Amino acid sequence: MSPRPSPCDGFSGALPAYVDHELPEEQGSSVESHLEGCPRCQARLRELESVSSVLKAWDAQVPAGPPAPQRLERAVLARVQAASAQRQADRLRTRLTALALAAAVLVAVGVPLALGLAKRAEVEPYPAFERMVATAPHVDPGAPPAAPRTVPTPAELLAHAPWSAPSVPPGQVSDEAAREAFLAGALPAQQELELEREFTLRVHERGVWVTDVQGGTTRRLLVTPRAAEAFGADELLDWLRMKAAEPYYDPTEARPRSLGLSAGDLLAEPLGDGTTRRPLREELPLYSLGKPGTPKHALDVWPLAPRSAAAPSGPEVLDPLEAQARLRLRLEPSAHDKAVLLAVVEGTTLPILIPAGQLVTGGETDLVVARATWLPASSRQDVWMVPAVEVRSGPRREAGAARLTPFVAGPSLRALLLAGADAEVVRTHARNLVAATLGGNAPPEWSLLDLYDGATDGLVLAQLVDVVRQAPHGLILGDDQGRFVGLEHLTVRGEGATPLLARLLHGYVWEARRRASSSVSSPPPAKTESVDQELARLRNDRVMLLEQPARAAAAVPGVSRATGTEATRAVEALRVKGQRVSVSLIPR
Amino acid sequence: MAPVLNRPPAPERVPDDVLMQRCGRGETGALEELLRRHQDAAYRYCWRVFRNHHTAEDLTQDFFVKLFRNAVRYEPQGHFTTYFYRVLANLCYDALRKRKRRRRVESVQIDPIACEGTELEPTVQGSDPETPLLAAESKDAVHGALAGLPVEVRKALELRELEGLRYREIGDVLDMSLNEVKVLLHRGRKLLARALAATPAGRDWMSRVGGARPQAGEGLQA
Repeated sequence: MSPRPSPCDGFSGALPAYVDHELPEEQGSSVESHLEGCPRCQARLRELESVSSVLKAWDAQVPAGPPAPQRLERAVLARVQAASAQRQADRLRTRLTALALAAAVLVAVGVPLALGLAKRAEVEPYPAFERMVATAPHVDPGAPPAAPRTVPTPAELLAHAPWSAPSVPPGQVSDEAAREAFLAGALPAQQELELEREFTLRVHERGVWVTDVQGGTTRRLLVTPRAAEAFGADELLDWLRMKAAEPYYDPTEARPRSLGLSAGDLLAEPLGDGTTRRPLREELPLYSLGKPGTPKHALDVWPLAPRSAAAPSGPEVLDPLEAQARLRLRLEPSAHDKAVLLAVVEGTTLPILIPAGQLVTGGETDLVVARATWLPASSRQDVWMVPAVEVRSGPRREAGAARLTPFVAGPSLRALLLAGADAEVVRTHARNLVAATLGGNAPPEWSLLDLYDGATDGLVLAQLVDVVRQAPHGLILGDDQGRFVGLEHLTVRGEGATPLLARLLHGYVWEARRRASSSVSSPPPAKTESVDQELARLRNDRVMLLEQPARAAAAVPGVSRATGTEATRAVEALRVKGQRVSVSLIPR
Repeated sequence: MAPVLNRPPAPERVPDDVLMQRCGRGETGALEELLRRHQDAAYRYCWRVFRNHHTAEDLTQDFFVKLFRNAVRYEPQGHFTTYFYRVLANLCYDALRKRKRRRRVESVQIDPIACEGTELEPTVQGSDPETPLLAAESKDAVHGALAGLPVEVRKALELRELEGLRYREIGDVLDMSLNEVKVLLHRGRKLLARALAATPAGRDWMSRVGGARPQAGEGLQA
């Protein structure tokens, strides 16, 4: 007999779905008619059904419910109420502290004692930084105004930047041995830690795998070598705890999430020779969870060095508008008493996600965020900024204390720009900043560069945009007045980028709303559109971005305005509950 | 018994989504209502995993406390059922995993790089996932057979057979594609049939209920 395809072939595969009533009606009836004449499939069906029947019969002996439902209810309510009372007490304490601070500010000049009392209510300083804080120009936002400082000129600072010394090649710190010692001491080679039943860390040479064991499903999150090097295990755990507590990270969700690493964290592996940069995405399938063999690169990063290979494009690019429409961002800051991990930097109220250890460029001097914790919106407590300049690189780690090491990083980009530095100098300095491994391995947070209103901002912005335009990807955000709100240098690609983008947009929209606060009093209209409708509207709602004063461009030789066709090619607008925030994709 | 969560809501009934929103605003009244509606289902789910009243009750409590605490982040999009089971399943199997870990002192080192791109199989640590860990000590053949399944398989099977969830919903709960759910269920039935056939008590169940009498070592046809 010649082998023929069995008549059952089309049906046997459909039997489980048939048993589960998951087949479309038409297919179901064809399976039924096949079954009538096929003893083999009938037998298979019986087998399938027997498992179901056993389970259902077994389930009959499972208790119908808790034997004492009222008692259970009472217990749950008692626990919930106790927790809420605790929260209220905490909130009250916070308010009292704020009141005390306000009072202290009012009488600060005359009554230093009051200030002292208020300060006592604040969180204890991060012990590792006490020494640095003592000499730091901006450290404690609550402290009395410091005496006027003499800020070195950018030229002076530049002369002190590590890469300015001829003996030290770019991207390397001078005391390499100390750095090695620091790195060696920072984390043991293999280590498993448990954090409040939430995470397991496995430190590995290529990074730290964070296993979120909140649920039965293990989710694996990646902390890059940069972050792993920059943080000691304790900081890492603290950081994870903070990250996990962010509103957009829901540990109960089965979907793997990044821990909100900044794009800077993903920038690249530490430099070997100071010049080669290998984007991490080539090395590690970040977020490649759940589907073996199909890594999804959630984030691309912005290498300041020109990228050799062409970046992937096409269908992979996630449209931020689509993300916006799909995600239905919740934008009320009041929805969360405490905002995202918040570092409020001088001159801005924009909450920005900055993990401790990050370099912040944008002020007169660059700063390293030494400590950032959850903050109530508009509070500046608990963010410790340690100047990145003026503090010499010392011992990398002191008896398990100092894990973040400030370093001499040269002038801030902003200062450099304001001092009228040549665009090429700025770019080079920016590259060096990013490339420097430095003890703390702090990636710069570029967004902050642009949050200063001022007459010269147009100039700064124009230069900055010029720098940024070298990047193949990025986001520029402006508000509905055409003012610059922020800049992000991540490429928005892949599914995993969506939450991060959402969070970023959330922050920017918040800032835009704050700026327009005079009109915020009326509640924003509720969303009634479907996702598709909203997306269509968003696409139609294009606006020009970056309507900066023309003088800005004119003032900077060799820098073309970002409002030209090239820069605005991909300009899109977002209307978010009545607020418009424009998003510009930086053209490639 | 019909799964509580899949009953169509009575017309005048406030949707669970709305109750969750209220919980998010701190209204304990809404939590009371959710408790009344779903504590049976939650308790039964926990009981099935642990086969123990005290643990089931504790976990049910934990579950509702957690539901309330996370309600502020809940997005009302009509997916309460899947949310409910996702949180519940995670809670239960997390607890189970810890228990097992406590019992099994040695822990396995999983090389993260070797596992790159794959979902680690956390709950059956250090053992062949198809080895029924608890079968020997279980008084109940079916429970023992279930306990021997890989966790995701067990979850999927329970959600389908005992909670009556659709494939799509199971996919949402477990964060899997429809196809993966199908594969998991198929595998689950196969493994369960094999596990049941491996013990006299299990074979007894099969013959009593299903009428089929698979031989030891033989599961469903692939």
